Amino acid sequence: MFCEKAIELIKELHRMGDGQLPAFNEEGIRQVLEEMKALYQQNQSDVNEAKCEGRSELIPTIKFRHGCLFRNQRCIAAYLYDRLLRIRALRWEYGSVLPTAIRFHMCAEELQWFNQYKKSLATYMRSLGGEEGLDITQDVKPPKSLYIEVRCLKDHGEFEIDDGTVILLKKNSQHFLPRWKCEQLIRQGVLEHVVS
Amino acid sequence: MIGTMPDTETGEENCMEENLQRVRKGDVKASVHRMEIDRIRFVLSSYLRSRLQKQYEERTRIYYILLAISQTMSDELSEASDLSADDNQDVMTPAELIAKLEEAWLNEKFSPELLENKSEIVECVMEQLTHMEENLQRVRKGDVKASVHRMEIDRIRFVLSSYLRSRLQKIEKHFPHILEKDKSRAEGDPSFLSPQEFAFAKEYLANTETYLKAVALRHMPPNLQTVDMLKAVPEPCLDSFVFLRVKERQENILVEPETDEQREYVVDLEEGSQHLMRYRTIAPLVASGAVQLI
Repeated sequence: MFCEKAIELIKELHRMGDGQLPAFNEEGIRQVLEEMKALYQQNQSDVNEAKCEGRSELIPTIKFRHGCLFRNQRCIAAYLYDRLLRIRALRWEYGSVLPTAIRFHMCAEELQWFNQYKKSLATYMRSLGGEEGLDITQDVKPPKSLYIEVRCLKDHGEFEIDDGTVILLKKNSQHFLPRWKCEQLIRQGVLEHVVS
Repeated sequence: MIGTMPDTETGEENCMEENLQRVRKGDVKASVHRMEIDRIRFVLSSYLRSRLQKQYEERTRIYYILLAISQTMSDELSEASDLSADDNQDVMTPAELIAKLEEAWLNEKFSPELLENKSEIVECVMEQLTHMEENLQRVRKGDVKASVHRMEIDRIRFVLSSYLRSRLQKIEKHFPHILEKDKSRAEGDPSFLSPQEFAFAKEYLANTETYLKAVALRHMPPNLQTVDMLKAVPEPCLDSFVFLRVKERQENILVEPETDEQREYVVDLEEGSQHLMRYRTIAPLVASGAVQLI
């Protein structure tokens, strides 16, 4: 059946659930594109035939193929666009540097898009207010207290706080840190907020 | 006022306690002395307590004075920036400014479409924030008032970030429609997007189009190489329902029918009342500030 491969792509994304990025299915895309090419060629020859020899019974087939072509295009665009939205969410979650495991799942063009998006966002944030701008990827949750208790989930190395003190973030150590400094580390999974 | 602190008492008490240890058990003297020690200890701790109390009060008083000073300073600041921005505008105090920001934030958070940009407010608040941060730098370490101010800064920054974030999210979600609307607005009308947001939206559109083209569209048959973004990307749903509180009394608001069986009707919105209505009906009122989304 036509369009099956394209639907398969969409299903694959759908099965992954929220926010997860499966590996880029280059093979699937290639197959859909090939199917489209074949459909298009068949259509063209049929159109020629219908025109020259006046075979009007071919017209419904042509219309059907045309519909399939549109459907394929729509599916591929949806697949790619949905992946972009997921990649975009990753920028907000992980900051400007993505973990290698995720980069591995992206194709070269997606990386390019990501870099460009990063740049646009950075330009936008820099242009806000004063000369330094405002990092709006911070302060995601409303602040409840100034300092929070955090536990280290992995070795992160040294970490400097505002007043210049340097602390060592070792696995399983607990610290009492300013909230605005560790929000990003929490989202990256380095620290865990201890709620007692 | 707190007097200077004499520091010998505690020593004396310890001394008496030691003496008491040496007295043999069951001695009448001992209990008399014990009583004496307890009395002295009570006086001592009560003295120390009252000193602490006074210190605390003094500190609080100083804090309020400093707060008032910073308030007046920022008053002047916002006055200056307001005057330079718009001469006809009334002078805004920081409290009013923050209230305005919160209003804009809530409206933006709950409305399905992008509202008019409030870049003056954003700029003023940013200025305020840097100003407050500067003030904080001057405060010495471990001061009580520093952490209170820090908290305040954090809260304001959260509201501001959240406001800008929700705008940016809407732009990303509906970028073709927003750019289209911006293109079709009449000459001289204020844009819904701030210049920075406009630049961002344009880059986002160009970037996404380039990407789609590079990965798939250019491999497709010639008649299918473009995707109409206006059709492909969802439009903001203006028929979604929103909660609102009425700030200025409104009469004769026309509510359009939802289904074919219903008929349109007219409602009056009393000041202070709260409603759940479709956004489309009250969109102009949100824009004019007559109602507040909650």
